[in-house]
Amino acid sequence: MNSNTEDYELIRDFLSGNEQSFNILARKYQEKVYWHARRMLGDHDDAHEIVQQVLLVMHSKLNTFNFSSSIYTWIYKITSTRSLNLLKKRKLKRYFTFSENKNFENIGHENVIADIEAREKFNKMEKLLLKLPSKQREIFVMRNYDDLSYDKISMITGKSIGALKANYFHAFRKMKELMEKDG
Amino acid sequence: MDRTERIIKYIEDELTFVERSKFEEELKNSFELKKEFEKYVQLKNDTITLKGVKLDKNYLDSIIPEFRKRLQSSKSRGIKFSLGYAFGIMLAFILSIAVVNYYLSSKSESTDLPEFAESLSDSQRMELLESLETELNSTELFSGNVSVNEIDRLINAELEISSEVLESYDIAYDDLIVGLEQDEVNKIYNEILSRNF
Repeated sequence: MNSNTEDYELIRDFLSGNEQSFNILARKYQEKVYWHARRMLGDHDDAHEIVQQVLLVMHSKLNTFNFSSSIYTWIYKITSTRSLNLLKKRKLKRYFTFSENKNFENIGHENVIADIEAREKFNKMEKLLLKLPSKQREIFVMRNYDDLSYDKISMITGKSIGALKANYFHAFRKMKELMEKDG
Repeated sequence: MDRTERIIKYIEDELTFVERSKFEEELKNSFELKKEFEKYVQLKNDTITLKGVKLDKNYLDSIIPEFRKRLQSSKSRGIKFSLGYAFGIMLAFILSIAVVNYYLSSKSESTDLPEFAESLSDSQRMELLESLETELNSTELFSGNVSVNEIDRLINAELEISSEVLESYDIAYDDLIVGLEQDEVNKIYNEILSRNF
């Protein structure tokens, strides 16, 4: 039984009233949701908030899921939209409160990353990612961390493949320049 | 296609077979191109390494219970909102009825001569007319363009006094307004004028 079929059965079961099926589905995708949000927002608290919001949306809107795509694509779209919205909100807040850029050290939340060695590399990459414009960051994360094809990304973002490739090219080049500067 | 574009396309496996072979040949012969290429490869490898980073199990286990708590509190917030909304609608409805009632009742307090005349029974009319025969003070309020006789005629018409009664009683405006407050007199006078002119 492939993953899609399993997911569809869990969804149907949940829609019939079985909350446990929802929990199973949520546990299956929560980590992917977290990582996408974390890479987009660069902050554990914000990523955690996005995870909670996405679960609430899933719970209330799964009855609108039409089984034409995979549930992961559906969830991913919600996560991406919410993350971008939160980025815009943060930008506006900084603009109106004249506050400095938030220090994304995530002190106190480092232990959410299980492997100590990976933590340092992750934090370094996270800082570089945050310097990318949000659209470039999004495509870079989707291609390199979520292994999404341009077709899938086009479906999620609604952008043309040509535009996505151009964005990805600029993102990759910029990341390399940032890495050089960082040493 | 510039150098950077070729490097990225090579790494992403987007070059054709011919382009790929040509690029690999160039890589062997150009130190600069190789140096640049290795930087991009390093970046790509770092991202691949970080793909496998795992979250702490305790944190992962805490996500669903927190979600369930939020779901519960959003449901109770929803019920409170609905009740509050219903109460607000009801309050607005009661207030609007009260306002309309107040408006209608205050309107009905205004002086309406024909209604007043109709509200009197025949005996009340006769009583009113008899009382007007006595000597009383009057207030002159006539408009310069309207004669006294005209006002009297209008009064009679408003009160729908029959010709028999008119013969018995000489109904005059002055007589009718005696005993009334000045405000009431003004109201009656203006009412007569506005109806007829």
